[in-house]
Amino acid sequence: MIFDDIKREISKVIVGQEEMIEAILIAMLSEGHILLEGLPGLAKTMSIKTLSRVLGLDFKRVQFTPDLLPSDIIGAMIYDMRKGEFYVKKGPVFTNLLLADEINRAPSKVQSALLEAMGERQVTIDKDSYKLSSPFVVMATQNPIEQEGTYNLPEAQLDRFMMKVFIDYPSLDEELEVLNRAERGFEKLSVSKVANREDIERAKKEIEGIYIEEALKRYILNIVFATREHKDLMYGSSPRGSIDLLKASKAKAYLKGKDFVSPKDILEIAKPVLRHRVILSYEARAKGVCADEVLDKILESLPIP
Amino acid sequence: MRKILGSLLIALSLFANGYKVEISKREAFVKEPLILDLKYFESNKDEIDWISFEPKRSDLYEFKVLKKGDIEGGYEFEYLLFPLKSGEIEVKFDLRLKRAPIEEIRSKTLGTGYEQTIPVEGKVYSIEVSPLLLKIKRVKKVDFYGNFKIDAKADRDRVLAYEPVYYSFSLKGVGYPPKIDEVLKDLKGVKILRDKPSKSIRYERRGAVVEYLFRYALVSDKNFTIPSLVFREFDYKDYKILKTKAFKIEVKEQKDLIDKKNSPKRIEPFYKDLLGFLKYLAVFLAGGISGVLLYIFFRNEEIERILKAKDERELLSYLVVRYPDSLSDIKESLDRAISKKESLNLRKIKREIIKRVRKMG
Repeated sequence: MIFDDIKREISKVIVGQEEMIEAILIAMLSEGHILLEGLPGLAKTMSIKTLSRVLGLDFKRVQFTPDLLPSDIIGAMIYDMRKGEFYVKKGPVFTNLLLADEINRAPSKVQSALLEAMGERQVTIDKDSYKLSSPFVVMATQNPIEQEGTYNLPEAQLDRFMMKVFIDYPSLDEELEVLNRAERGFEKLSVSKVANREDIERAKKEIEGIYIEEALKRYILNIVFATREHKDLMYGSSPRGSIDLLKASKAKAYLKGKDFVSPKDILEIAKPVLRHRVILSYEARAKGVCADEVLDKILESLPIP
Repeated sequence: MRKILGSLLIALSLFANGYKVEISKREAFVKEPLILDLKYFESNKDEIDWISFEPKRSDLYEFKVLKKGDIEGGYEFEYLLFPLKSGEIEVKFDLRLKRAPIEEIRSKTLGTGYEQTIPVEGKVYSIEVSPLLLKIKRVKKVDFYGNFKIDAKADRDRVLAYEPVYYSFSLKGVGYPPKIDEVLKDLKGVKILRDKPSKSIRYERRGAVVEYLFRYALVSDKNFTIPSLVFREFDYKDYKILKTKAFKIEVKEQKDLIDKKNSPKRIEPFYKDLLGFLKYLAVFLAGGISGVLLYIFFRNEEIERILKAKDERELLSYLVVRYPDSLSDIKESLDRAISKKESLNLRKIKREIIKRVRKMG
């Protein structure tokens, strides 16, 4: 299966971070985007760059800053002095894999321009609309440490991300391997292209055909509905959460080489899909409860069909 | 030469000395008191360190000392003698004395007292005394020998059930001391509570002066009779019968058997019970608390949860949530069991999970 080859190639460069790699693949196959939360220096850029090389896709990185403008993301009409006419200068959003680094550093108008592009998969520059290339996956990162001069994404915007993945420090053994590779030089590490755009499109079609039982669809809805009724949550997940959970479960099953969705697929993907879509109650925040704890309780309490 | 002279002097002195044995009667009845008077005369009385003159111990008679003392030129010993068997009996005597020089006796027996720890140097002489022959007349077996009076008293003849009747029996008189320890042995349906008998025996020339008192408390819930006590006596002349009065005791049933006067309501049993209960409760609570504390300190919620899982579905949801990065093979097999209905030994898999969870720490 090509996705096993993809993972193997990536692992030649990236040590660990399987969850992040899998999340990117799932997002790519489900036409979703992912939000990464983690400290700097955990190989986010390196991962997505490696993935783009392995898949033969375009990759761009934008460092979000407070003075960034929407046109810096989507592009703008530029006047050509020599020709005496305006032409379209496409922004970095015109790519396959976009790393939007520290998205919370940019003002909300820039954030919404990007998020609109993520949702619509097209951008409008001047009077013309331009379709974004396929696949189009945004991998946005949030820096959880620095609070000053940051603009946290509003809840409605967060909902546009298919998954939110936490990136943690590597283990001791993993970090030792990172040191060894750094000593040899990362630039010497080479990866091969093992898939192309067509493979991805084919995979997307195959995922559409993955079978899921009616009972499991109800199970997905039970999970989503439980988030809306839980006492520790002020707001639960939106119907977009149910859709994304269904898509992500299918993609997860596909990545495992299965042609059907099992309860385990749903259980494993439920937290990344739902954790950024729920809003904790004031009491829960005061008690120091986090969204993952509430979701754990929901997943543990709901019977698997 | 000096030794010979000394021996001669002793022999002469012994010859000048002598004893005298007298008895009040030569013919008497069995257990009749006789006065036996023994005297010993000595010319050099001061040279006698000590002297013993008494009948030899025998089962034919028994004797008690009435007096011992000095008399002019000798010593006198008076005994009260009771013959115990009929027929001709021989009373043998034991006369022994210790002679020592007068200076030796004075130096060793007078002084501060410390000197008395030093034995007086002297010689013990045993003097042969002719036995005394007595003719003792036979007597039928009786309870008392001598002249006695008996009396019995009951403090009341009408009592309530379980109320005690105090009964006493007294024996007074002169003669041979009666050998009785009990007068009331058993009374049917009556509980007999006994005091230690009071016995007083004083030996005089006329015989043993006896005063016995037996006291009882008799308790019953029915009428009863204290029987007349009958004793046979021989007063060394005639045989007599001594009787006490019989007492009929009427016992009245009482409704309230609780003795409120002598046995008021006690708080002890209640207190005792409460204390026992509190002790039991304390032990019970201590055990319970220990159990709870042990459970709290040593409980492992994860293992508990795994054990409590009803089926593979519950177990899978727990494992996926709690162990997202481990136990993947177990989670896979549980998933297969749910999705593909593959058979699974849940107990075995739980054991495996617990083993691995413990290993993970």
